[in-house]
Amino acid sequence: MSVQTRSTQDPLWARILLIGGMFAFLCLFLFVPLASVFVEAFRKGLAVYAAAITEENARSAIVLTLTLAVICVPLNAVFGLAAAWAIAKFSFKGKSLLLALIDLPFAVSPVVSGLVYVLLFGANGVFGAWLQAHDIQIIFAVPGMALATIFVTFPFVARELIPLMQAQGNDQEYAALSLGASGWQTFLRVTLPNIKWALFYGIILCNARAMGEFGAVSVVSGHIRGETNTLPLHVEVLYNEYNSAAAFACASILSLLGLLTLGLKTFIEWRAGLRHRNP
Amino acid sequence: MSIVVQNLRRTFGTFQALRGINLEIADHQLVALLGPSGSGKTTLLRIIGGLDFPDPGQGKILINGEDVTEEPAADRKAGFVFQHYALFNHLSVFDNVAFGLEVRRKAVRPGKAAIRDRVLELLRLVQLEGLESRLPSELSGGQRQRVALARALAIEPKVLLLDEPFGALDAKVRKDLRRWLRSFHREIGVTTVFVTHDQQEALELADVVVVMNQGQVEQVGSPQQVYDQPATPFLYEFLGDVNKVRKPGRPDLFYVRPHEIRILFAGDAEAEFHAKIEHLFAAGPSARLTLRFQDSRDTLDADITRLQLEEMGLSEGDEVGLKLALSTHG
Amino acid sequence: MGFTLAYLGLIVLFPLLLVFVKASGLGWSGLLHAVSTPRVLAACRLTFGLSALACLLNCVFGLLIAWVLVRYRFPGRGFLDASVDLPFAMPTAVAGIALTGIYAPNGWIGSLLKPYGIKVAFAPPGILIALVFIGLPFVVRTLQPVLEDFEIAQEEAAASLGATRWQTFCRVVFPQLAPALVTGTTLAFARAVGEYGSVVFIAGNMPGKTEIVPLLIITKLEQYDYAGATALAALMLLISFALLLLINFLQRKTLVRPNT
Repeated sequence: MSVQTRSTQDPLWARILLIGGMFAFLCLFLFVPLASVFVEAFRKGLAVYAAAITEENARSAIVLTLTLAVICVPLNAVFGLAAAWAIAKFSFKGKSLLLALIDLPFAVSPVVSGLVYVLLFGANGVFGAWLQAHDIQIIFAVPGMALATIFVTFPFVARELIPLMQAQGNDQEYAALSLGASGWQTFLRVTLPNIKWALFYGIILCNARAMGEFGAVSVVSGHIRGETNTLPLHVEVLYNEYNSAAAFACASILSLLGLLTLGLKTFIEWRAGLRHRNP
Repeated sequence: MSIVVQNLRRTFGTFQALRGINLEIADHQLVALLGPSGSGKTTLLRIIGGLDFPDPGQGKILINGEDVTEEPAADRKAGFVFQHYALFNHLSVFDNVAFGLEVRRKAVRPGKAAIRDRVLELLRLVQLEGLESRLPSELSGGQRQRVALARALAIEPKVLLLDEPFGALDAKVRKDLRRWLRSFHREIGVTTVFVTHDQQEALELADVVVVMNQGQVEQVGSPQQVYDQPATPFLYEFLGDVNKVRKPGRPDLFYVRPHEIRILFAGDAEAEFHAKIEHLFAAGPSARLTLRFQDSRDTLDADITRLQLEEMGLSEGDEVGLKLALSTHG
Repeated sequence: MGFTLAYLGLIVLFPLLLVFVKASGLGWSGLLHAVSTPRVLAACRLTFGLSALACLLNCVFGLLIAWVLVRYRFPGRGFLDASVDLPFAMPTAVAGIALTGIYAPNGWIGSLLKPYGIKVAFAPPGILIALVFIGLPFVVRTLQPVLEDFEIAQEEAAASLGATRWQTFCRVVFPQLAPALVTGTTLAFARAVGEYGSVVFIAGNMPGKTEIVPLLIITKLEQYDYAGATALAALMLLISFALLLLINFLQRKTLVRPNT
């Protein structure tokens, strides 16, 4: 942190004004909306709240959300590790292209992401006829949603690991190899411990996005209640039916997930001395 | 302009950086604040410059007789040159130097042409003409330092303050710039105070050396005075190499500098002590002998000229006689 | 290595190329025709116009927030610092219904504005608020490292040369923050144009008035206008690519990397 002396301090009135402005902005845009979720969720009382989140469709939505997370997060974690490993430890042509491609899902609208899978696997899609012939359902079913979720969340782990592994270099791995360790041993005992916090961090973010994704899964899901609705989609259904108490009740669960993510994120940043990073 | 420091105290939390400094610097002088890390010299410099302030009610700074203690840096007209130059990276050399003139209130701001003339004149003075449109990133360390100097001078400061001006440069560049600064100071005549931990630099450059240690002034004097007549053991050890010697039969320690030891042949009647040459280092302008006393187990470092080394035909393992001019005691 | 490329190829490249293949099945004139209907143009104007406005707001407030968080000390600073990531950690649908709830005519803030005839939810201002919400972390987080690393000696130098704090900010600090500011704003813009979940609830979704492009794509899909949806998606993809290149270029230029 830069040390400020009186010669570089802003005048008191400016400080008060700016801090006040920040408080006002954050309250208006962050805290009031967050608070409203919980207020609206409990507006009709605890009984209604409990009923809303244990109702059958809500439960299957929760299960589906968790299922998708369980499928997508580990896969993307492995991919992220592999990609970071390849990029950091080897030199090859097209590295910068690879890096840009990894960033792609961040720049693409989630709706477009979902759309490509519909175009691929939908009834009129490229593989549509083939899939129908083999009675395989991807779009409007869980596999399609999994694919869409993988797409939008795959950069998270990779982006956290790549700069870190690049900065760490190969020295320790070479040392381990020269001492007789196998490639796998080197990975487990040398590489992994060095990146564990970044890996954990990436997984947290990946998970938050996987569970909270809305646009992409909305396109591929078909909104079949009880079957292809994740919790965010279920919230939408409830809201559009003007069942706002139930909608906010389910939303409150997602909010808790968001807050938990934030907490873990902050904890890791503090613990690992990481600096602020880009979302 | 003269600088007077009165009873200055500065505390950071529980650390006393300055414990009551009293100092007078005459007009036109080139003064070195010399001392080890943590001695408070940079803190003192910054307070003189207005970048920091003494503890409330604990001291005064007078520039040219005026009490400027409470004046912020912007009003003080003390030119400051930072250790890492602190050039404005996004501005050209010209804009860097012109900065102090550009930010003046409309009433006292010179016209564009006047600013241009002044900047170019200053760049000529620091021997950087032709480089006005370069960016700091395109300059060498020595060049950047001179831009920083020109920038500080543009505001026609009452005093010039340099914080370890050559600390970040190569040895050769440092030497050249030292020589340059000396003649530059003679030319411009502004009262200049610079901070350094390099005693060679302080002794070579300054008119007056102020040696500081642990927040206090240990000694003030000309380079000759401070080197030849150090007032305290700290000064003796800090300024130049020193040997600590015990006279046989006496428990106390004496200080003697390596070049103050006369090497004689072992049988010479004038020899006061006898020692054996344990190590000989002659790859330099003079020869350094590491000597071990015969009767005690103390060692001594002595410097003799290469000429003397050849004339006496000395080598490792030889026994020699010593005559010491033992001065200050430890 | 091979695994990475295969994974990437399968999941990313192939599907995306497909969008273009399908879109080009329309032919160039068909493509142009599909994206230039009044409804589409209105949606584009709305999406890009409001996204631009939103990230300008984020630019100003993001700078303010980053400055306060880095430079000032006050109780609750750490907590507020962490909370800046809220829009990023929160599922978009939750943000969507929360904002709608508040700004609807019978909502906490909406009801306060109703007497003045100000409509926020189900109108462009509502969309603007949602876009400002989700873009906030981008500007703040891009600026913070740069501010933290800023050489304070430059500010001291400016002070010693006679500059006021305001002059120092305008002439010394801000110009050196500008690259990071632009990068962060571009990131916020890229996010805003594609945003769906936070916006679709509060927008009202009236064609020609409050319909955003992502929603239009979905609507076309539901109406089996695959060609139209694809054409629009291709347009969005092109813009995404362009923004991605721009962002990478800017990041390299300013050496602003997300991690140290």
